[in-house]
Amino acid sequence: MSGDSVIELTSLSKRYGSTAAVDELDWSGGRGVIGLLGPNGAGKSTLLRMLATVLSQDSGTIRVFGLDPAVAAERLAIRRRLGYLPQEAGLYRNFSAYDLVDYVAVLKEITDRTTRRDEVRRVLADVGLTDEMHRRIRTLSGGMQRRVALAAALLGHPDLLVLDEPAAGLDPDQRLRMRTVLSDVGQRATVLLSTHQTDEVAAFCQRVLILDRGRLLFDGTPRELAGRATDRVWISDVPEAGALRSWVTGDGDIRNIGTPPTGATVVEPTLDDGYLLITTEVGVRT
Amino acid sequence: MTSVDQWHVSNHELERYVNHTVPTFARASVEAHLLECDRCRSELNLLRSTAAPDGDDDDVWLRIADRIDVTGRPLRSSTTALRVSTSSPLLLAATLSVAVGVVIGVAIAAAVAPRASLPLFVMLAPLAPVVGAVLAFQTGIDPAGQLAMATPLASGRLPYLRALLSSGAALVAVAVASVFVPVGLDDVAVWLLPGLALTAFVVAVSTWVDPRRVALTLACGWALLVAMWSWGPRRRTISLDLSNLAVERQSVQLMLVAVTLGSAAVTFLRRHELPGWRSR
Repeated sequence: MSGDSVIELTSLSKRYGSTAAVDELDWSGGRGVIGLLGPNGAGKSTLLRMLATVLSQDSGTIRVFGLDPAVAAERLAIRRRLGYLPQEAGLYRNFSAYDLVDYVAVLKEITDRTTRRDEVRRVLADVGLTDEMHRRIRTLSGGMQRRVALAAALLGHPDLLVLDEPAAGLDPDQRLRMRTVLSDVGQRATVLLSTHQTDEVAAFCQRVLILDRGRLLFDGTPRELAGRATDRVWISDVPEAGALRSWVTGDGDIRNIGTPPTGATVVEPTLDDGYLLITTEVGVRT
Repeated sequence: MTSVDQWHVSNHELERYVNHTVPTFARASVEAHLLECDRCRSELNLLRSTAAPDGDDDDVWLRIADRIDVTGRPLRSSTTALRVSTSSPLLLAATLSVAVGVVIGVAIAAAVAPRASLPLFVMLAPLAPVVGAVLAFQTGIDPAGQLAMATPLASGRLPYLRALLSSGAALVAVAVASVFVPVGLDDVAVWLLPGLALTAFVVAVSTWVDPRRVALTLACGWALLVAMWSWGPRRRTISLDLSNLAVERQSVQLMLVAVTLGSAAVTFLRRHELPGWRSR
């Protein structure tokens, strides 16, 4: 393993028929919270599933903690240090939240009953489900069910957390709690999460990746992402024909990204601007 | 819970227990009594509430239960394995449906169309345990769904333990169903052999390809073969007595044993390659 890299990907590819879900991806990452942005079908879930060792690649290499998930013994070693939250967990709905997380704890080889109980209570408290822990999953709201799955992913203090849209269905309070918990985990471990929300990335990710059609379009800090749109965003009263994207803001102004005309009112870019500029430019080029 | 005897832990002993100054040998005895005695437990709670107002009584009792329940590690790990293996309500329901379906199907056939009961039994006997094993390998039957896939235990012994239990239950159902057909009690064990061999074969092949495909192909092939033997136009010229095939032909039995053992060996060598638990 080179340097502090927890994940190392080399020419990683995965295809579904003629569609490349992940296309010749080279990337490495270490400790901290890393946000993975991209439109639907960008290959985010495919990439996360491969990193979570549940999907094999077509070509290229994956190293997690310097281990190869294609080798059975090394895959097992990775899984012992991994927490994974799939996009659709598919939890059995007649278990209570406690029983379900307890069951996953057994699957994670936390066999000592006392340790397991303490750990299950800890993770349920982390996601704010202490009061609902004995309710059956089918009686919980979608957001609560998502938090049960997140709690299960947090079991055993994993060194790598792979989370596929962890904020989906959470209300603002719960998102704030999730950010706090994941930021805390990110102090000592690697947290890789996919999201559609740039504000999520801005709030607590140290690093952001943009994936589109299986290719990595951006890798940097949230500030650098916003910086990509410096001098490329302007406000106008009418839609600009030369803009790559234009939309009406809450103030009734037209916000444009692209190459501003002379004399345009250039404004401070946001993360959204950076993201839209990068993904739109690629769309125009292809 | 009722009081176990006339003896109760003295206040002095309880205080020592709360302060962790009871000798180890006496501590176990006090804990065993506390678990059964409401009165002493109330006394203890009173003492604890004075000594540690923030104490969590639930936790205390759970910990006491843990200490008393401690058993040898091998037993604990095997009971855990059994508990986890049987903790899939979906698999239990599916296995039960297969088992009950086999018994009821053969019983109804024996009552309504006695001549069809034996072919039906011969058709179902090897396939029921195969279905049980295939069900056990589906990731969807795990209570934790996709979450389970990335855990160490789920990718190791768990699917195999479940397959063993599920196909075992199906084999028991086959043995029960044999009561309704003229197989003879002595031959029941022999009739379980094709099921065992076929299941072991499917499990072994499952380390390469989706077990559902293998099972479906085998099921269709076997059903067709039995149907041809039983009702086809050349049934008299073939003149195979199905009920005696596995019983009287020792070569067939030896072959089935060889298939079972060979498949088991292949499965052991390729035990980490279950495709359902790591998609391609």
